[in-house]
Amino acid sequence: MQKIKKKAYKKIALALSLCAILAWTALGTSASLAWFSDASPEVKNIINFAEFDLEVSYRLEDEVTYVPIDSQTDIFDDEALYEPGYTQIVYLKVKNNGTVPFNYQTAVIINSFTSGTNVFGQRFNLQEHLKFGLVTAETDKNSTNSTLTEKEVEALVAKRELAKEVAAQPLNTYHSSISSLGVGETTYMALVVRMPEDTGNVANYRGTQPEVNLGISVTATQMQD
Amino acid sequence: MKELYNEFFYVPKHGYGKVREKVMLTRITVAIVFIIICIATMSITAYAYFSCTVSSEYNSIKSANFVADVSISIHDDSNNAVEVTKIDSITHTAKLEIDKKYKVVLMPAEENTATTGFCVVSAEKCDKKYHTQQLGVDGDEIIDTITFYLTVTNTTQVEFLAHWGTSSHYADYTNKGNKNELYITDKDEVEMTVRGENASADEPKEDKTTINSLETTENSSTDAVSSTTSTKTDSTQSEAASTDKNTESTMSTSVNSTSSVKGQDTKSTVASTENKEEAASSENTESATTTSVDNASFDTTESNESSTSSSEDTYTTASSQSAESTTIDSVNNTSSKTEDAELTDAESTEMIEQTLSN
Repeated sequence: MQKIKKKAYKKIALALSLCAILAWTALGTSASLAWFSDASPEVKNIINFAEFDLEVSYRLEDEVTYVPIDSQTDIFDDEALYEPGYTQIVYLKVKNNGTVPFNYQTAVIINSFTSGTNVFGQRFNLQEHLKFGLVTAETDKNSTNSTLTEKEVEALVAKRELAKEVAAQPLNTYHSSISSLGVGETTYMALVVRMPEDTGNVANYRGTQPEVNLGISVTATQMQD
Repeated sequence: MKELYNEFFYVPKHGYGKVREKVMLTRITVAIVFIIICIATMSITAYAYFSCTVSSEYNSIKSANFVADVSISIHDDSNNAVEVTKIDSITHTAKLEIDKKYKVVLMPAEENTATTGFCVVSAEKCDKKYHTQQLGVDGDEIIDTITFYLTVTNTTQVEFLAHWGTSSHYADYTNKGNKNELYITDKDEVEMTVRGENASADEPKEDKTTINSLETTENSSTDAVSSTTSTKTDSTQSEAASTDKNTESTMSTSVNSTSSVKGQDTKSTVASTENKEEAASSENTESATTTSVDNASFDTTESNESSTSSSEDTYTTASSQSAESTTIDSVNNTSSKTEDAELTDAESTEMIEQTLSN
């Protein structure tokens, strides 16, 4: 019985000795490490995810201030009625409020449309008699910059003849080329929708008013270097 | 459920049997599916986190329409009203008699939503088509009513066709002192020359047309391709609206197909192009433009001064006008006149039937 007790005491003493040695080693190492190193307490290393913040706002020709766009915003004039020669221009402002540069792309999509009946009794779709165009930095042949200022965009569509040149393609689903926008940068675009002057009575409706429901979206994605 | 579990997922405890192959495969498959789902979720989350979309989805674009009302009264002491028949939503007709002066009043209808438009005034057996002044917005003015006085050299059916947009003669009108005789402004007095039924009365007109066609043919030979192309474009637009009410459009189509009148088509197209250029230089927002479809149709008929309409229909046929305006192949055109008239009549009846069935 005494032998067993002696064995137990030996084990306990050995364990305590080992613990003391480990503690002494740790203290000595930590003390020497602290003595021979220095850290500036003011340096902060914070790891954050990249922040994407795209702001798109619009204004009509007659307006001055830009209004932010959301899913419920109607950027075209509700009271506008298209007839031969009628042109509507909407200026778009795209701003990078985030912390990383991104690539963005503008899309114009026909969500739905209502056919009409013209004065000759024939069905027609209004979008077939409309032309549109999107003025961006890429479409401006005279500009080598990746962004356009507000004055530059206005100068491109200020006159009726210039707007006609810009809005030359039929109104249909359209995707612009991918452009890049740096942190804090702003670019301006102009969306032109017009009915050509030579549109005849084939688009002069009777009865149900033809309508086109247009969707405009600007999508920003991470820039790949 | 217990059976399914035992079949595909049960792993016996140590010493109570081997793990079946089916169970192993099932567990491996489930693990792989979960891995794929996790990878997909992570990818989608990362993409969503690093992309942003701003959209405006409900932008409605609507169309306007133009309707004009017509009232006619005899301009004399009795001031009797002439019956005006409304053929459809844009066409009014009235029978006017010789040796009487009629006061015509045009105004936009109440249901009209377009800002501007005009009326085309034409008559049976009359070669000229008149365009009225703009109803509605006309430059800086707003014209609510146009009143003019109309006389005819023979009793005839006069048609008033409402058309939206801007007249192709507007450019001439805006150039002060260069007003086109076919452009009717407020308070104008217009005399429509209506051909009688005697053939002899047509001969001088044919000679006149001969001269015109030669001039246009000689001058416009170099522009034949482009002009034909442009008129074909216009005729394509006009063919899309193929009803009897669109006779002017069909006229331009058949005129294009006749080679002998290419010059006249060219002239009309060049004139319309010039009008477009002049109109484009104007600072008016909506009124200084031209309608090329109407140019192709109306100017073409205007150049065919000697063309006669032998059709018994209310509207003149294109083939008769095109055939009679030629000079080089007058005999051939006379023969083709009948054929074209037949074709056009057949086509027009088919179009009428189609529209009625629609």
